[in-house]
Amino acid sequence: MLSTIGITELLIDWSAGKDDALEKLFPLVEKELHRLAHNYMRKLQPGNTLQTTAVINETYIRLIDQNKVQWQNRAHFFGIAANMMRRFLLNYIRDRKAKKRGDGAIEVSLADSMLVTEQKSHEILALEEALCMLAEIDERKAKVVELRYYGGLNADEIAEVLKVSVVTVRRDWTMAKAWLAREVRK
Amino acid sequence: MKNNWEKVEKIFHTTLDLPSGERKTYLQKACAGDGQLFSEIESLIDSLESEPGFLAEPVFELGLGAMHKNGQKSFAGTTIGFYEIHEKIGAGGMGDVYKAVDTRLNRPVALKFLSESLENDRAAKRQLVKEAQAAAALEHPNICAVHGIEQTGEHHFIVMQYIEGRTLAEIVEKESIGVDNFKSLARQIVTAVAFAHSHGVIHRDLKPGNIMLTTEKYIKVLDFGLAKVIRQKHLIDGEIDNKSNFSQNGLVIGTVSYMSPEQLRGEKIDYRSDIFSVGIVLYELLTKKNPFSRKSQAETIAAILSDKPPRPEKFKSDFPAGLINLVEKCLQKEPEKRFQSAAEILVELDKAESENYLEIASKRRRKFFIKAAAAAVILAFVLAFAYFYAARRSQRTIAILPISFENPPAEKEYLAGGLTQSIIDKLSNLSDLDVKSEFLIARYKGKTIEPRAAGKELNVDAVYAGAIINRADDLFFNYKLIRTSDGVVIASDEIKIEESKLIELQENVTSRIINEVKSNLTDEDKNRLAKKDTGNDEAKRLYFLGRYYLNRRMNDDVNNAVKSFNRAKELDPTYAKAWAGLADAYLSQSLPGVENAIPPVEAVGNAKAAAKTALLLDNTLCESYNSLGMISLKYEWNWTEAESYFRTAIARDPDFLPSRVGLINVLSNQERYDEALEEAKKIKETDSLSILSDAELAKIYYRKHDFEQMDKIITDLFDKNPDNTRLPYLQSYLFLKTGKYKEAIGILEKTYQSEKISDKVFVSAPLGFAYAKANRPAEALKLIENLDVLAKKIYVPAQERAVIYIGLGDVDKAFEYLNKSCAERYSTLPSLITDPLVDDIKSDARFAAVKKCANL
Repeated sequence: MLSTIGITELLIDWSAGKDDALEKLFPLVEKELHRLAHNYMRKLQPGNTLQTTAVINETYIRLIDQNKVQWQNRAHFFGIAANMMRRFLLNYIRDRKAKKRGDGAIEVSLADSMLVTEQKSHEILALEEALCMLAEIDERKAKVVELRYYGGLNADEIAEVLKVSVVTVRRDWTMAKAWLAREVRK
Repeated sequence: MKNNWEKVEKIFHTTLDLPSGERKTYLQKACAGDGQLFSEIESLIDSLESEPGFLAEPVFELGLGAMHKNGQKSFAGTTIGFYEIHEKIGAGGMGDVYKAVDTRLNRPVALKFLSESLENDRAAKRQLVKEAQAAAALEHPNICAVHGIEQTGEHHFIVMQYIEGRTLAEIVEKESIGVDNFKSLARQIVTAVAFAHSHGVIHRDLKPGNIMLTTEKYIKVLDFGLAKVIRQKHLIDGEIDNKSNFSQNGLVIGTVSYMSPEQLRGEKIDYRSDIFSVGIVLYELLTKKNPFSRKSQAETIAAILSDKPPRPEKFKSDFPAGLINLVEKCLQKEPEKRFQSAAEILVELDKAESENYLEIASKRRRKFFIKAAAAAVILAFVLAFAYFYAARRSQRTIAILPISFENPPAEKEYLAGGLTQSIIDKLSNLSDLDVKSEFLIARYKGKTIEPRAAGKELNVDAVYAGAIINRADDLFFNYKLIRTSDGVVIASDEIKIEESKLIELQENVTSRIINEVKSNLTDEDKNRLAKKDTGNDEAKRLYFLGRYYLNRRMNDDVNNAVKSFNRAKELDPTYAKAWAGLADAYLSQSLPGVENAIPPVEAVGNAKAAAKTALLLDNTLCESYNSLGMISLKYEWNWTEAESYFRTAIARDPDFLPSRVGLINVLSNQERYDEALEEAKKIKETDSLSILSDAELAKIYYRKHDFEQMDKIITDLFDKNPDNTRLPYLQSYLFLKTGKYKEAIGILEKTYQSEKISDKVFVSAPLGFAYAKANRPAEALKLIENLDVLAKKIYVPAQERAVIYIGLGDVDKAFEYLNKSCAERYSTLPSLITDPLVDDIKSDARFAAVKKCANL
C-alpha cells in the first residue's frame, strides 16, 4: 500500500527544490496512474474521450494528503503527471523498438503493439529531440508543450499550473509549435 | 539564437496577428534589412501554417492506453482461482497470456486474459464463451487444446494447453526451411485447419505468430475462432469499419498482412478465408517473406486486394512446381478460385509429394519410402498379431444376421441394411466381443436360413436375427438373440421404429445385446460405447439411405447416394462415417455404367478430400483407408501408398476384406506373387465359407502363369460350389491360356448376352481374344466394331479393344489402343501389364513404355 504521507512529503520536498525527491515520487505516481488508467480505460465507452484533468486530479487526490500541501502543489503535480507520461511513452516506444530488433520480433497479436502506431512513435521520438533543444532556449515554452501534449491540459489549466496568463500560454504554444515543427522537419 | 529569441518572438507574434496579405510588408519593415532575422521568422510562420496537424492531438490518452496494456503485467506472481500465475508469455488483442500451473492437476497451462474492453462488453463475452466452447471441442494433435473458459472474480480467462516451442514467426525469421520440412509443416497446419473446418470452426486470424512448433516438432495452431470476437468487437467500436478509420486515434486492430481480401472488405467470410491465410503462411515458409507486406498498412491492404504475389522463383530448383502451384492457388483473390476446402489442399500436398518423388527419384528418397513402407508393414503385422491374440482370448463371438424386411415400402427399404450395419458398428467397439463383419454375413442377405444353422456355419456363440415388420403402416423391429450351442433364445423383443429416432433405436437394441452377451464392460468399452458417431437423427437416417443407394447402385442411385451423404455431413459436419460414405459414393460416380458418370479426375479429387476429412474426424475408419488405398491402386498407381493404406485398414480390422483384396491387387501388379498368395490364404482366417480366398488364389496363379495350380483350385472349387455363377467366368481365362478356346467362347458368349452394357464391354476383351485365337477373326472384328459404336454413346475403355487386337496379332493396333488406355489412365491398365493375355506383345520394345506409364 502506498503511504500518502510519504508521497506528500516528497512533493513538498520537491517543491522546496530537492530534486531527488522527484525521482522518488515518480514510480509512486506512475503506479497510481497505471491503476487509474486501468479503471478509466475500462469505463471508457466507445466514442467518449477522457477528461485528462479528471484523471490526474483523481490521482492527486488519492495520493496526496490535502491538509499538508498548499494549493500550488497541485499544479506541480500536474507537471509531474505530464512529465511522467512523456517519460513513459518514450520508454514504451524505445522498448518496443528494441524488442522488434531483437528476439521479440513476433507480432504477437491483434492490437498490442499497434496501439501506438509507427507514425505516432516516429512523431514522439522526433519531437523529443527538438523539445530538449527548446527547453534550453526557452524552458517555459517547453513546459507548455509538455503540459499540453503529454499532460493533455488546456490553456486555462496550463496557465494555472505555470502561474502565467492564458494569453501567454497561447502565445507560447503557438511559438513553440512553429519552432518545433521547423526543427522536426529538419 | 538565444540572444535574439525575444525579438524573434515579438515580431513573430505581431506578424502572425496580421491578415496574411499584410504580413510580408510588415516583416520586411520590422527586420530592417536583417536578412537572417527575416528568414528565421518567415520559416517559423511557414512551418506553423504548413503543418496544422502538428501536435494537435495530445497523447495523454494514448499513453494511458499503453500503460493500461503494460499494466496487465501485474498478474504475474499472483494466484487466481486454482491457477498459480507465472511469467507473461505473450500479448494479444484479446489480452495477455501467462504461463500458469493448474494446482488441481498440477499441470502447466497457458491463461489468456480478456482485455478490459472486452470484459465490459457482454455480447462480446457471450460470443467469446461460445467460441471458446467450439474451440474446446477441437481435439486434435495439431491444435492447441482449449481446456475451458473461466471466471474468477472480475477476471475472465481462457485456459489453454501450455506449449513449449517457438512460433513460426520466430522460425521463419531465423531459419530457412527445406522441402521435406516444408511439407511436414504444411501438412500439419493444413490438417489442423481442415479438422477445425470439419467441426464448423473458422480460425480467422491464421498467421505465423499463431502457429507454434513444439520442441517435439509438432505443429500446434493457436486461437481457433477467437479472432471472431475481437474483430467483431472492433467493428462495433468503429475501429475497422472502413479503411480511412485505420489509423484514427492511432488505434489499429492488429496486423492486416494475413487477412483475406474478403476479410479486409468486411464481407462475410467462410472457410476459404482461412485458406487464403494458410497460403500466406506457406508462402512465408517458402520464401521467408510475406508476399503482401508493405511499408504502410494502407499499401498492404491494397496489395492483398490487388497484387499478384511474386512467384517464389528462387525456390524453383529446389521446390517441386506442384508445391508452388499449391501455394499460389491458396492465394487467389476470389474465394471460388482457391481450394474449396482444406482437405483438398491435403490431397494436393500428397500429389506434389509423389510428383516430387518421381521427379527427383533420388536414392535418399527411395530409401525413405522403402523404409516407410517397411515400417508400415511391421506396424501392420504387430497390430494384426495383437488383434488375433485378443480375438483368440475372447470368449464370445456373435453374428448379426442381415435384418430382413419383407415387402418393404420402397422408401423404407433402406432401414434394414442401415440398422444391420449400425448394430455391427456399435458392437465392434467392445474389447472382447468378436462381431462377425458385414462382409461375412452378407452371404445370408435375402436368404431364408435358420439362425442357429447360420450360427453354426459361422462358428459363433450367438446369433442375432432381426426383422422389420410392416404392420398397418407402422414399422416394428422384431429381434431374437439365440445361443448357437443349444438354440435357446436369450433375448427377444419388438420395438416400434420411428424414423426420426434412429439413434435411440440403435442404442436401445445394442445395449440389450451387450447386457445379454457381455457381463462386464471395461472402462474403455464404456467410453467407446458412449461415443456416438452422430447425435443428429436425420443425419443418421440420411447416412443409412446413402449406404442403401450405394449398395443397390441402380439407375441414378450413385448420385442419390452422393446427395444423401452430402446432406448428412451438412447436418453434422463431424459425422465421420458420412464423409467416408461420401468418399465411396464419389468414387463410384466415375465407374463405367453409372448414369451421368463424372470424369475420374474430378471424382477421385472429391473422393480423396472426403476420405481424408473422414479420417481427420475418426482415424479408425477402415472404409476410408480402403477408399484411399483404392484411389492409389486404381487412379494414381502409387503402389507404396496403396499398400500402406490397405495394410493400415487391415491392421485396424483384419476382417476388412475389401482391403485384403486391394492389397492382393497391389502385390500382383508388382509381380510380388508369393506375398500375394500369402495374403489370399489369410482371407480364409476371416472367411472360410465363401470362395473369395480361393478365387483370389486362382487369379494370382493365373497372373503368375501357373495354370496348373490355377486349374487345380478351380476344379476343387467347382466340386464344392457347383452352382457358383462366378466360377465359369474365372475358368474361361484358364481356358484362354490353355488353348481351350471353344470352351472359353461357350462361357463368355453367355455373359455377352447380358442386359448390362458394362458386362458386354468387359467381356468383349476375352471373348474377342478367344474368337481371334480360335481362327474366327471376323467375329473378333465385329466385337471391336460394336465397341466402337458403343463408344459413341458411353465411355468404353480403349484397353478392351487392345486385347482383341493382340489376339488378332495386329500389334500396331494393339499398341495404339494400349497407348490410348495409358493416356486415359484407365484404372486396370496396370493389372493388364501382368495379364497373360498380353504375353504375345511383351517382347515388343513399345511395351516398356506402356509399363512405365503404369508406374511399373
